[in-house]
Amino acid sequence: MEVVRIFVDTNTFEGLYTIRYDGEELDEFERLFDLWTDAEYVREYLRSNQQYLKSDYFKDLFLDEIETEILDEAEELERLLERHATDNDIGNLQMLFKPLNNTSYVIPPPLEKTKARIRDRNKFRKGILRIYALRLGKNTFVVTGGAIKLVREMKDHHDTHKELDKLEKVKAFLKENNLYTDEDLVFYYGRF
Amino acid sequence: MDDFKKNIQKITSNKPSGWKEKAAERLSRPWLKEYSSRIARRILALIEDDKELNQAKLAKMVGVSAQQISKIVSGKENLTLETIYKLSKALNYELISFPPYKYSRPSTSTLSYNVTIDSKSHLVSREVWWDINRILERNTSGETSSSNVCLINSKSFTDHTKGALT
Repeated sequence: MEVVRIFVDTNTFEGLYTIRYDGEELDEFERLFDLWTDAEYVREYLRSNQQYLKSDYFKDLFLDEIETEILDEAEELERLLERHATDNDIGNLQMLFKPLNNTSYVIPPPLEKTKARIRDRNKFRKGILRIYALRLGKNTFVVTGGAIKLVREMKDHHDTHKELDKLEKVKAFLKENNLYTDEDLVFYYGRF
Repeated sequence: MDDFKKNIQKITSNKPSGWKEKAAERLSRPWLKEYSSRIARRILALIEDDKELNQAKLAKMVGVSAQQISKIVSGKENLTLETIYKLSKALNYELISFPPYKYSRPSTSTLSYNVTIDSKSHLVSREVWWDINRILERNTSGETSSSNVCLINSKSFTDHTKGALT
């Protein structure tokens, strides 16, 4: 695997990175948005996961409404991130990526697992899409993947379970490459 | 800090993600999601319902390449009116519908209920007619309601939940 820049400050190298996994043509970030904006992919994904749509969370919605929500969320996430990229607004990335386990730390643990999602309940009733990332610094994140999340617990669906594995694998890879040193932590997390 | 830069540079590709260009393009074409994707979702359902039909067959029927159909059903094609027309004919399904406008004949199927207010007759939809009936049931000041005709005398009729009916 290799790290790929999404948008990064050229002086500090802070910003958003992603991973291109071995054997993949596209990096994860590019791949995810290609899929989430593809009506055929979204339809096929929901049809092959129909059993999950019977849950209380989705049962009041028709398939077309869930599709609309996914496509709208993808657009909103993309718009938000594109604004960050265009304005080189690295400083607010920490507002978008929140701890994966909903626990907030004063000082986040090294290579903290995080998620980004749309949080506007007025516009988006469900909040189905997730981007998963590891935190390398205050405003530096490495996107490891993402999912159309149809279950509450990540372990309860094979795709989100796979995302947990990817987070672990990338964490190990970054550690192997010394992106886990005390010196880095003091530099980044010391400013919290 | 320098260590961080050195270490991340070592494992980072020279080529940045292709997302940024694609995102800019997608966001500059909002009609893709608003229109193209809605058409795509209907085509997908029609193919799904017809066991004899698939994307390759549809491509032949419409006279476009299989690649173009693939792009159309992904909701990422800027469809021409000509293509929409051909798709509609091939699928025997109107992919675009036109709402009534001020010079249209009022649809008798939707406006087929008669409400008479102060001796003046109005054609209304079934939903409006039902609403009026529900109000009449609650309010004894309302006059009569039979088959699909309501008679209301507005001077003596007030619906406290919705305001006066005039």
